Amino acid sequence: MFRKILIIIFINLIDISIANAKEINIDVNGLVCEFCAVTIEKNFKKREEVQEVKVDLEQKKVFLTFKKDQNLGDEEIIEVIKNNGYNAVKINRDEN
Amino acid sequence: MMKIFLILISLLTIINNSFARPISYSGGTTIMQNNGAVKNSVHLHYSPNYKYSIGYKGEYFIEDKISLNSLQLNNLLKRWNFPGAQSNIYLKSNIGDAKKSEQNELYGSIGIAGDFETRKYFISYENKYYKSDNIIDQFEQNARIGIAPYIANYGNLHSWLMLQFTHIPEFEGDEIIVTPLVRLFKASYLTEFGFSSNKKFLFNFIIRF
Repeated sequence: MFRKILIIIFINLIDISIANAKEINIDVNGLVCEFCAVTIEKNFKKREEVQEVKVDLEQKKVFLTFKKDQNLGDEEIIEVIKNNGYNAVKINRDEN
Repeated sequence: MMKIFLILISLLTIINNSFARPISYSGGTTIMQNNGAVKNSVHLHYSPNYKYSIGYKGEYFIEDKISLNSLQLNNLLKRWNFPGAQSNIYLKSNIGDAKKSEQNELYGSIGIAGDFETRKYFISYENKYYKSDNIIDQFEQNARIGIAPYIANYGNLHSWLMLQFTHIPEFEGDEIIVTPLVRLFKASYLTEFGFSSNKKFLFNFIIRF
């Protein structure tokens, strides 16, 4: 019984952690090829605030998941993308 | 010389394209190896940022038996980012050693490259003028058109069907060499293979790391 309670608490903690991980997506102009995606992915992964980077060429979007209690401001995100030769046109933040 | 300069400028204003982008991401290193109808080449470059790269370029002209070893600087002159498309113009310049038989001398070259690319269509153009005292005095130009038979997302294998047109006025009666080729592309690896109208195999690869 005690073991079951511990498992339930552990699962809830994981849920809370996932809920705390902030996700945003960015519309990017010029994102047309595999090398473009690799470039964006490598450079966001260098940022310690970022837990996960996904690039969707079809949607022309970059998806960022931040570590717990971590974030990047709009200006920093725009700068990272600009420094790699692309243009961030819109940053979509989920405020839930 | 003035004629060549005017041709370069005219081409720059008419069409923007490129063979393969000569600049990587900030801090990126690239190896490009090309084996084509006229020459074999290897280019190893480092990109401090997305606006320029610097590295070694080695070229060997098969018919004339000319070897070139040089320092190459690639500059991004202009980039246009559109929703779902990108276009670039690059300047490529070299200085180094030209060798033929037992003769060595200093040579320089300069060229313009440009491209326009969507996920479905690709067009590129590049030219280069080589000059040394005695060994080389040559203009060359390449153009490509390509189409992707399917649209792949990031992480999947990208395929392109392309036609390459190579023109070197001094080469084989001023003919235009046409090379149908297949480009395969995944993550940081790109390879191309084809067969040219002058019956030579084409094999290229690019690795970025």
